[in-house]
Amino acid sequence: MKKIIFWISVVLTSIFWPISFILANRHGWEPFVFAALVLVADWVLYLKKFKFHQFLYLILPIIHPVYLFFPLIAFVFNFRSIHTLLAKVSYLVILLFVSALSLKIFYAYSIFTPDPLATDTIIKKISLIPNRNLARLYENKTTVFQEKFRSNAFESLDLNNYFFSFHPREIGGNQNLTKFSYLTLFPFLFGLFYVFKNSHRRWIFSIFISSAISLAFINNQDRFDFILYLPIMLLAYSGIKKLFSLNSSFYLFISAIFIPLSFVELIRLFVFK
Amino acid sequence: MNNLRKFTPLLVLLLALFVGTFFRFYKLGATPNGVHIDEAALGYNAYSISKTGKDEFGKSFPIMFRSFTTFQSPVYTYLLVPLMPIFGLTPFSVRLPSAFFGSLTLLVFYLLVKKISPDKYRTQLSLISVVFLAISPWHILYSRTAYETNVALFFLLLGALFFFHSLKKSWLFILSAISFAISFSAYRAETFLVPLLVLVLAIRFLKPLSQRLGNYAIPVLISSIIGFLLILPTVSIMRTPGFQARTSALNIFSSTLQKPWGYQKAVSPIQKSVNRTVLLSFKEFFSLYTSYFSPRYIFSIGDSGPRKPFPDLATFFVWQFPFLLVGFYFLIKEKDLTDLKTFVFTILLLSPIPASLTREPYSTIRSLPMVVPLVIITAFGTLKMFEILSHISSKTKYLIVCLLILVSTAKMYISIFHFNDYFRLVYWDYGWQRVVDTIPDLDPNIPIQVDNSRGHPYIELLFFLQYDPATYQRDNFEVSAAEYYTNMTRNPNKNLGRITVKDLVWGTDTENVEKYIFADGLTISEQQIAEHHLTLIDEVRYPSGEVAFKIIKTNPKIK
Repeated sequence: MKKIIFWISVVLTSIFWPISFILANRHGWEPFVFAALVLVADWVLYLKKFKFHQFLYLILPIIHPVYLFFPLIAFVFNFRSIHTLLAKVSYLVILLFVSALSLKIFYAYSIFTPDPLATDTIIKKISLIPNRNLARLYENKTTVFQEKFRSNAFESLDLNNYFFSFHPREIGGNQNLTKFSYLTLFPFLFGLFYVFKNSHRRWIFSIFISSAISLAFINNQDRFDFILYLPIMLLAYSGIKKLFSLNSSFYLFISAIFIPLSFVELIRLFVFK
Repeated sequence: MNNLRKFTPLLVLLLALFVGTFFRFYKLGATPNGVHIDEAALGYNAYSISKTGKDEFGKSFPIMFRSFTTFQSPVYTYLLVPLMPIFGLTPFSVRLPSAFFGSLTLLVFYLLVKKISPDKYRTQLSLISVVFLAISPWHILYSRTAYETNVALFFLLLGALFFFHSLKKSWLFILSAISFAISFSAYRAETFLVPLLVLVLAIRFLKPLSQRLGNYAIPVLISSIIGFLLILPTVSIMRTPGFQARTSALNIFSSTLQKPWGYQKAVSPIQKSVNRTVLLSFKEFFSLYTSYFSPRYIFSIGDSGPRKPFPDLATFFVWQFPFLLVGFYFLIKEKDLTDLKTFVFTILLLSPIPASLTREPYSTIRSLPMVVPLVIITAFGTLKMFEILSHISSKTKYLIVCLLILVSTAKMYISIFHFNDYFRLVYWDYGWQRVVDTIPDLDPNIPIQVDNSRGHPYIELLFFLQYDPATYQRDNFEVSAAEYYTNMTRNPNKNLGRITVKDLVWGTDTENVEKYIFADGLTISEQQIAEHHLTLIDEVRYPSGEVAFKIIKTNPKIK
């Protein structure tokens, strides 16, 4: 019985985002899903201990130039695990080639596109600061990018983004997708707390941080953030596993609250499309 | 050298207190420029009490102040009363208790953290914590403006400090009870928080206290009686519509005004079965609750209200994020932090609850007590980070943190004293002082009408005119004293001598009688002035150049 409940919980956790994503994007879903599938393939190769599985990341900017920074950041994280010098150089050469192809489109999506309104605000702010040097230090040409990057990075780090489609009544420039049933937050937090005991923590973090940072470089993360599905799902999965290994009250929580309410949330996806 | 090392903690503490006090007192009456209606109401009611013993509605020494039928907690207003004869009714005097208790909070906070920390962290944790609170944009915002929440937080911390000390000196229980009782009555969130905190502390320390029952029986009994007597007035009106008015209007579980988030029109039985208000309200509450732990709100956006965050600042600085994460992790993991853990997690987990019951996400005013555990966790994270980075010298680590503090403090200075008075003035009800200053220049025989369609301008006029409370009470009846807490009817029109405050009716008000009309920049356009043959007497503008108020004169004879 315990095993059945465990697997029901895992299924309810894992199918949520893909279903809500497909239901909301009947057309034009391909690049986002393919990007997520690349990471699934990478995960499989990683589990099979395939040496050069990181080379798969180089496909991402080809699928969509928005993911341009992903292979670069992942390279930094995996610097030691890409074993030979030749492999490292090859990776960088291919990345350089891919970047040359993707750069123009990436720029159009990126936070570096001109923003006249934000620039005007910066100019106003500079005029309000009496000390010219201080003004230059705090309000300069990079301020707009810094602020956008910070805002985007925290969007990716905001748990409410994944479990409550941001905050109640907050509608941003996105689809406000329900990515996980909100009670998945508990297993996710468990997984996060015990992440240092997770043997795959390095892979999970490198993917999560590479995704979050690369997404922070673009103006609107909507749908592109689907590449975060796998690392978050894996953390929630490890949390469910942990919950089932602890005392029976957690098992009861899963059985009595998590599964019924998650099921209700899942039905809502279909009946209130 | 030894002497310097010996006095370093004292120097750091003094520096933190100095910087903290500076940010709370500097240009207190001038920045934010403008007096928000809530501040004006607190100030004028205190002024009215000091002159007549009654509030603006003629109620003698109310338990809660009716105000705009929002019923303000009484402690702040009563703290203002003795200041009125000394400082008069000014923006400075109204914000003074907040700045004073905000600064004093730093000292109490330092002593509290020192008291509840284990020996190995005591000095460093209390010092880093007080430095972080001294430069906290969240705490500074409520210390520079007249909000009851800041005073309530001070008494909450004072109560906790006395409580932990009372475990050794039993008579301090009485002071703890008094402080908690004042905090309970000082702000709505504390009305919920204080009893739960006391309950948690009582459960946590039941065993050691019961073992020395002989020493503690009488102080605990006296404390309970005093505490109960002090909260009794507030408790006595808790069931009145007045006390509940604000709670009912904002409560997410009350679906009469607004359906819960996610509620959709359900047609089929299956839709109805998954569209239950209770389930959706629970989800909304849960979502609001977790928003108080969202790094996006804490470090990037800040409060959702337009007045609340200073421009470009959230509630904490971005560089504190890794410290907060590390602090969280180790605070949960380490086992010998009993008192610190009890206090930090109790406040951390309880203080967002009252705020989460309202519809606004991340309301920093209602969750202000949360600044305390978050600051402690961040400070603890800093210490643990220092331990993790043991290969870097202590001097380098402290130098980096000092540099970050310095850069952030300068940014905060710019935001508070240069940006806020440009970008946020519209939300701080800027311009009423200028409006009132023009009145003596106007013809005294012509009546004045102030448009009432937005906000509550009458309270700004009362505040800046320092209008005689006795005359105001005589000329403006809203409810009898007996119905003060029960009758929610409002009188929208106010009479202040030759000034009438009411909604502007085009035609009736603009063409029949010769009068001056004061209205905000949105109410009267250039085209309307021309169409209705009005004369523009003066304009009050925001620093950005936009019109805040127009002062016009009607010309019925031309018509």
